[in-house]
Amino acid sequence: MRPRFRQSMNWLHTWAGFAVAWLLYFIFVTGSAGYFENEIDRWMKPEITVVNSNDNPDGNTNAYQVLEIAEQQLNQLASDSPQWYIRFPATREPFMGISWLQLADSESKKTKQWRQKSINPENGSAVAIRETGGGHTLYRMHYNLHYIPKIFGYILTSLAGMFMLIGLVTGVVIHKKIFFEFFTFRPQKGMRAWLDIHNVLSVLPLPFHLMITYSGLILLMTVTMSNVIDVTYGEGKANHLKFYKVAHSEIKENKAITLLPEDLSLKTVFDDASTRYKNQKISFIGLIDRGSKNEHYDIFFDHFTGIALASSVEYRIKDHQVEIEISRGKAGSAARVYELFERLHEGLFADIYLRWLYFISGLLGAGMIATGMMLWILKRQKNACKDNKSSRFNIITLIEKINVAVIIGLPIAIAGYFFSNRLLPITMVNRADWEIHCFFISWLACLCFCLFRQSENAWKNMLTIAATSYALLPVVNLITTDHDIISSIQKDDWIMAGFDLSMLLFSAIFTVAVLLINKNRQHKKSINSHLVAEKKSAITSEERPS
Amino acid sequence: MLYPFREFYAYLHFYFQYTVLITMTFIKTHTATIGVTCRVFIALFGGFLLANLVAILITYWFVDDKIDGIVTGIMASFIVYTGIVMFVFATKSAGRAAFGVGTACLVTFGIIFTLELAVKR
Repeated sequence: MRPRFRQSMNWLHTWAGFAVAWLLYFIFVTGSAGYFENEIDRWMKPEITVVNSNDNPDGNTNAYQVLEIAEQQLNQLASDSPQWYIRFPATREPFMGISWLQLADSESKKTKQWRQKSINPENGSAVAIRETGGGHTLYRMHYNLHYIPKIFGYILTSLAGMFMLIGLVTGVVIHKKIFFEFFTFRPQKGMRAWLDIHNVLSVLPLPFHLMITYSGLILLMTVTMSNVIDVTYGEGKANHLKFYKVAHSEIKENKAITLLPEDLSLKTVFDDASTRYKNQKISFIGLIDRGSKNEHYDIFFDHFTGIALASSVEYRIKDHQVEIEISRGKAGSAARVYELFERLHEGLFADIYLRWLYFISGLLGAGMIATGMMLWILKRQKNACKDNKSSRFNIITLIEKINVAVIIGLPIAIAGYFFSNRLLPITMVNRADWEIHCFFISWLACLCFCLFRQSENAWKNMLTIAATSYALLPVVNLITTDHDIISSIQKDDWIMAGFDLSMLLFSAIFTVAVLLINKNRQHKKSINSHLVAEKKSAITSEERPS
Repeated sequence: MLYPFREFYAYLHFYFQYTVLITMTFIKTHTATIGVTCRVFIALFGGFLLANLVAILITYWFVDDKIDGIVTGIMASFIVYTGIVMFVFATKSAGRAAFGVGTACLVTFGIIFTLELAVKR
């Protein structure tokens, strides 16, 4: 390619990065938002009443009450549903609720979907929750890319991940003095400053970048590298299913307990599980395959100690005896390695501090991609200046404009998604879909706006829009619901308050960016006017003798 | 009347030469672009093929647990793919890159083929 290895790697780094930069930026930002999936979900469902389990030491009697209400409601609403779940307050989701699988019914035009309701433990009522995509849809976007068929989404994401891995490795290769350069920052020096910030954003969270990219590739490996499975197991879905069945087999421990089969109910199951596992809090009880032979109760625990996620216990009737089945994790070493990478990638084990670290690392990754893109553009502009090629239509300028629309437009689009959650009419048909449409519509609007602005102005305007919209989110929340920051804090509803406060924080960050741009521009202007004044004085002094 | 379409043949001959000329000039003036395009294709598709072949080769290493083999193979294949792409863009010419990747593909395929024969016996 180029005479030297390092130069050709530089070329590869530049163009591999450029090819997928915008897609990767999208993946990184929406993926980072995914670390707060449950918190975003809670914000987008303001009807939920938060329960603080620490408040009442007499937790179990309260739980019985909730169980009773839940069962009553489920019997009423979902008597024909095969799957019931009752949710108890957990660390990340401190509220109670019921959810059930609604079967398709052509008479009443019901489609097969999951329905849920929140339970208010104070007065025992079930509250309907607005139809929303929630944090889940936002986070799923980072690997299914929403509008295109799932399989293409997976393949495109994997391809972007592959390019990212190549970019990371070549990036390490091309920096001779990676440690030295990490401590170098030359502000006010145009492209050098961008290069330095790019280095910092890449090197500081490099282990995170490598981990998240590689584990992301591994999460989707059965889609992208399915040929390897074909060789041993044969082509086709049915054959692959055999592979998954063997690979995901779990070690299970079965034992009979003294509970009588006719006594088996939600309440007794809850009782038994909470006495059997005293130090663990129950987060979910499921009644699965209702009315069939395989009817069983599923208990999930809420624990985030260590890297492992909640384990589960199953209660079922077998040979006229109640039997419990305890899952002891995956059997195969391959599945355990896969699980390790999955947990590292998803970070579900993380507590709130580590979660923020995950989130910030993800955003640093997004920043790395954005600065890389800036560098690409600046370099080409500089070369164009040198060559002195000026045509009316300039592809670099166009790319620069789109770049602004992507980098600042995406946060604005996410804000638009949140706004739509509060502002769309609650009874709207396909409300959840329209929230996502709003996301992409606002992004498209940003793109159109940027295309008709000069890129310098576009940066400033877009940042201002972003700052305003993030500042407005808590306000809209206050107006449309009864959750304002102060009362949320008073009610100990820290998820709601935390979300609003984070929005204000983002708004502050965008505002600082606007101010910096303004300062920089004034600085440039003063230098320019200085130069102009000097030139003028030079001209007048020249003119004087004649 | 041996050549009823003599003029037609003449035209054909002319057009053939013309096309060759155009193509040659195009290749000469766009050597770099063609080289890069070739490399991109070699890296994307050749790399994917070779990474798959290497992954399949690794699965043969694990005799008693097929699943372990498959997962190890795939996990290694991502690193292999990165290596291949770097090789493709580091070599002196696109031809060499094609030669390197092609040979590696043939060799791995040959090994897999013989292994498969040995397993069947």
